[in-house]
Amino acid sequence: MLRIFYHLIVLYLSFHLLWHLFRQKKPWSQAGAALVLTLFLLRLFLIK
Amino acid sequence: MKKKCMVSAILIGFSWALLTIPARGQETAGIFEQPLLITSAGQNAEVQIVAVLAKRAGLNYTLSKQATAADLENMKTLVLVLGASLKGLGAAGLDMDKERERVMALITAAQKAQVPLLCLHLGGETRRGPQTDDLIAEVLLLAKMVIVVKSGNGDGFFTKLCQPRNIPLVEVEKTADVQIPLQKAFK
Amino acid sequence: MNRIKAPALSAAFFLFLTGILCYFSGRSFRTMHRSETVFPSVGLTDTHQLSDYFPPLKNTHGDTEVYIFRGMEKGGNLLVLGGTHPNEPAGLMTAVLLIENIRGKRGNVIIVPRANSSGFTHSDPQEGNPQRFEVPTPAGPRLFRLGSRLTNPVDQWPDPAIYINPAGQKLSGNEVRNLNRCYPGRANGFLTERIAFAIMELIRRERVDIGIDLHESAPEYPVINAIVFHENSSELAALALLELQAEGFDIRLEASPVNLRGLSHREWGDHAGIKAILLETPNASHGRLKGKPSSSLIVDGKDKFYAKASRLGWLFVPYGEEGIPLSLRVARHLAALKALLGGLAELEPEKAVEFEGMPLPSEVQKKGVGAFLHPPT
Repeated sequence: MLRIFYHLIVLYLSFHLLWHLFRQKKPWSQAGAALVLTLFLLRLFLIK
Repeated sequence: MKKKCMVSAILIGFSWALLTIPARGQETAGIFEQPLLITSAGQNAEVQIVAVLAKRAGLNYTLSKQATAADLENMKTLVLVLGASLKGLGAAGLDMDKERERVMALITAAQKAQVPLLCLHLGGETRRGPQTDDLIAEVLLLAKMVIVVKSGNGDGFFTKLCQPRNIPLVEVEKTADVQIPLQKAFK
Repeated sequence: MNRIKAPALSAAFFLFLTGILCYFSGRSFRTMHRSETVFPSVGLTDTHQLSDYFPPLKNTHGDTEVYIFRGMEKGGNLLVLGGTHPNEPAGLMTAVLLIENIRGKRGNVIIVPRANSSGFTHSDPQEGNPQRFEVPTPAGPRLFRLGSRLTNPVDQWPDPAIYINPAGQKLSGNEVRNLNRCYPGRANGFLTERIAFAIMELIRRERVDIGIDLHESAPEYPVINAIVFHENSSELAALALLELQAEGFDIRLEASPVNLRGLSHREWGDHAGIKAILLETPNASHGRLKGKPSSSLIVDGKDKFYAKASRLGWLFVPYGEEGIPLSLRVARHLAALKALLGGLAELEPEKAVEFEGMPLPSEVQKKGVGAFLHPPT
């Protein structure tokens, strides 16, 4: 049960980051968002 | 060849004697009587080694980690293994003040019953420190003989305490070497 | 339209890069789930999984191999545990060295090289530790994982704020994933508690007489180069110390505190009634004062910062420029094991355990661990 909540939270934040990535105009801001998104995606797939 | 062997044997014998004779040449053989009560001053684990060495030396001993005056009944010698272990004290539910109190009460009772005190320090340099040193300084002055592993006396701490009071001090290289002076110290 | 298109294109490009980064880093993380191969000697008689002793552990990352070397003559049963803390490599390497060399003679030897198997699947965050260390052998290097002290949170999550272990001790939350705080374990507990429970079951079912848990600690930690013993093993530990000192190994005794619960040297003795011993060697890669963590720091043990700390008198072991290599740390474990078995034979001859083929500690120290390992494949 806890794991499902965890996945939902990480998924929600990942979508936000994705949304943020596409809203940024400067490439450096996009690169920053992409890097943070990488960490969240690894978390989403429980890779540690 | 025969002469060389003889010289080597003498040299080995001499070196061995140097290791085991006391620092100032005081009497260290046959000065204690059995049975002996072994306990620690500081709840260190070395007390167990002394028990094993006493067993190997064929001595009639009783080991009690938290001995009190009552344990001295029928005992002819009190053996204190010096060195504070915070882990040991914690495990015994004691602090340094309580342990000091226990040890001093035990020594007082021993003196009253005319039971002589033999002190040992086997933990080397690692079993020294302000807490241990304070306790040693207090206890050592009442000892009839002291045996220490050399690395614990690197700064001459035991020598400085024993020499002015003429307390025989035996230094050994390794813990296992304690067995011989320990054995010899008893009648 | 064009104004929107350009950032969207670059965002898609960065998303693509994210995918690539995820793939390669994810793949690298996943390699930690691949166990290093152990090549048992011809003396191996049985191989089990820990789940054979406690089936609920099956198909979890807590399941691990158990190697048994049964002797022809009747004697005692010895348990050797490596990898309780997967970031203490001398424990794993000593266990592997035994598995790849010994042949049982008297009594039985049970070896669990990776006691906390889940802990081997990840590394400690923010430490910059290498995933693996390289042990040179005459036929080329062999790689072994350097894991974490704790169970992988992917396998056991979340940690409680305060952990009350099966023995009733209150501990900080993350200790719930520390195998050496979870004894005697809980059958329905967290994964780490179930591993501890399975080990207790193994002890009971194999009628273990003496258990030795192999560890390492940081040079600035007071319990180091030490034999930690349950009070039922005090005479045995003292005998072993005398033997070890005679062989030139400086070692100290530490009694297992009665009020420090959940540890192997306490609960194995209290709950299973076996002689319980824990061995510690000094490992710089484990400490707070180390320089750059690397495979060479683990294997060669050279660290200028520890050498300096030693000169300043901050450490509990002498630490020279020459370091304390893995070969010396494994040799210390082997020498202690030999001394403990010698002591056991002296105290309880009917429970003596003997085996052949164990490399001499002095040889391991001289030639290195790799000289006695199976060549890599």
